[in-house]
Amino acid sequence: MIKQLMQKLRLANLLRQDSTKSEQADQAWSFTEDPNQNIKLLSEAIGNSMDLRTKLLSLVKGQHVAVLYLESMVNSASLQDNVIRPLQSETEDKAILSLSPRVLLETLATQFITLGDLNLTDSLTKAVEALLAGQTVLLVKGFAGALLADTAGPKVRNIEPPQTEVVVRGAHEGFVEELVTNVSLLRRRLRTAELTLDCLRLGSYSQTTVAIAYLRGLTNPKLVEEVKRRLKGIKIDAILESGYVEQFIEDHPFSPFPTVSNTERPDVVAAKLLEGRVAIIVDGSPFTLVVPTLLVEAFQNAEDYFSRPWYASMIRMVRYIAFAISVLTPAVYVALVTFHQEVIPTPLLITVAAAAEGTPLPSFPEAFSMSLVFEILREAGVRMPRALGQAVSIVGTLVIGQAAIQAGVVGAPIVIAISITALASFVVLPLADVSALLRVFFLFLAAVLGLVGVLFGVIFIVTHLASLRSFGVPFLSPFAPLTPADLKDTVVRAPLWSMVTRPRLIGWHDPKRMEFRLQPSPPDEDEGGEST
Amino acid sequence: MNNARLLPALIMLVCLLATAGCWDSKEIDALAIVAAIGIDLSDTPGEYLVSAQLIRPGQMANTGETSGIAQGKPSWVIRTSAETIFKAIRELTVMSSRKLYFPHNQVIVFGRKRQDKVLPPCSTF
Repeated sequence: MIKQLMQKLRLANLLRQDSTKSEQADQAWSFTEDPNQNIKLLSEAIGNSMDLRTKLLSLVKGQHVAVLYLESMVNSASLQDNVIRPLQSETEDKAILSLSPRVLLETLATQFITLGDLNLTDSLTKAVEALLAGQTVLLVKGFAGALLADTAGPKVRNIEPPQTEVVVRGAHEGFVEELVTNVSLLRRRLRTAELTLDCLRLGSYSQTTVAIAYLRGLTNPKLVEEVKRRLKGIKIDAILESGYVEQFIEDHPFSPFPTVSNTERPDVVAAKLLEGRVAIIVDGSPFTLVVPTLLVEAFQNAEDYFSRPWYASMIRMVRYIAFAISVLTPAVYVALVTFHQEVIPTPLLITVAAAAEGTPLPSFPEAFSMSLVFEILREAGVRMPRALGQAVSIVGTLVIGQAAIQAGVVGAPIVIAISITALASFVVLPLADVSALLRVFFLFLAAVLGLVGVLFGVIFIVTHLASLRSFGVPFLSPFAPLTPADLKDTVVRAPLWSMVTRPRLIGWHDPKRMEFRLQPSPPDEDEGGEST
Repeated sequence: MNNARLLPALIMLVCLLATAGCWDSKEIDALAIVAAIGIDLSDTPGEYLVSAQLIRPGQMANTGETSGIAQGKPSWVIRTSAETIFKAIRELTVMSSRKLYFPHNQVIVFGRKRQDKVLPPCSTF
């Protein structure tokens, strides 16, 4: 105990020393009037990296401009067209020789460099940051400062259809890894001044830009504050994916249920912002986080809203059933076969008994091992390089399909049960990992207590769900607490013209989504007025 | 949620499940599914002859894949006689390697001769 305490103290001291040291270094570390010295300072600051390029451009008669940039981070076409060429070709005949260094840089910025984002700075730290962000640093002799030109734009992936949320009807644009592109995808869908994007830098090493997007007049300001507060609390070395952020801001880190949702689709993010939610876009990740998150959102899909309500409602119900199947099937099978044989219809019982006749394992180990085999197959299918994918599917179908049954290793009924489970678990993809965990949990309960155990587990899980909150909103709403008006978008998907209000617990700040009585109908012949 | 309370709760839960669970679990291949029961008077005076038809699922089910199991009749019959029907059924259990499983019984057949002796004890059983 005391030893641990001492260790902690020592660690705390170490951390404190570190921070004071860097502050001291800051003070002695600034631009000089000598450009060569400045270049040296900058290149030392980023460790003389191989991708740092230094160019000396001569203007008129001995006036030089030093241009520094990181080749790996700049858009070379933009650098060439907007910075280097104007400086080389157009500055010859101008009377810039007489200008003082600072005015010279300003003149360059205003008259020659054809870029929008230009800044003068005296701070070496800022210059290093800018360099690392892909900006170009321009230095002249006699000025203890630098001109920063935003030439950022390394090569990124093109916009592609989202990999995870596939739709038949709807936009085929998914987020990419680069933040600015993602923001533009979002802004194109919400072309309003209300769309606000606040930025944060997270990760002491990664310096990841994290954008918080929300609609100003519509979102609860307290929610935005809370999101910012939680984000600012993330003191970590690097944010490599939005999953990092998710795990630091979620309400219930020990729950198997995710209280922060993510999506790859800009139209989904736009729709959620319109419900009064806040989106967190992390640079370097195509997955945008959205909070607060409800359980019902996992069962929603973008296409539900693009297709007509009848079929969408049916598919909604199918998803709920599929989730129940994916969680409960193996457990119910084991419970019925080992505890409640009287429930099984006689012909089916005889079939199951015949299958059990030739197999070595009792039903619980059989169900458990088949679940395991399925998880192995799934994981192999996901991680395998594309070229090997076929091998997995052939081996998989043969091994757990035909061969295992024929050889009498497992019975056909359990293979059928696991197959249905597997299929169903892919229907509700946001909860696929939850259902895999719960499946095992329920399987154990069923093996020990039968259907009583399964029921016990269901009660336990529902109680747990009712205790969850996501950024202040009960996870089970609108079911518990019951909000009748919001049931329009849960098990059924009501027609769009009837969804007049935003979800009450999230969008209460500006509840009205559209005008009333928008239900379309042919014009009335006898001018009878409102027909509903 | 504090850990000091969580641990004992977990231990208790595990003990509860381990002690209260599993007692009535029965593997399906340890059951002899009874399809029919016959009750008659035995040749021995004062005894009942009770027989049970047990399903042999391996032969009965049309699985097509159970080639390893030798073909035979889809069911077999065991019978015994005792002073009471209850006793006879208990004795039947000994005659099969598996536990008799009655819920799926389809028919009960009573002996035609001397119905007056067979039926009353059954209807009050």
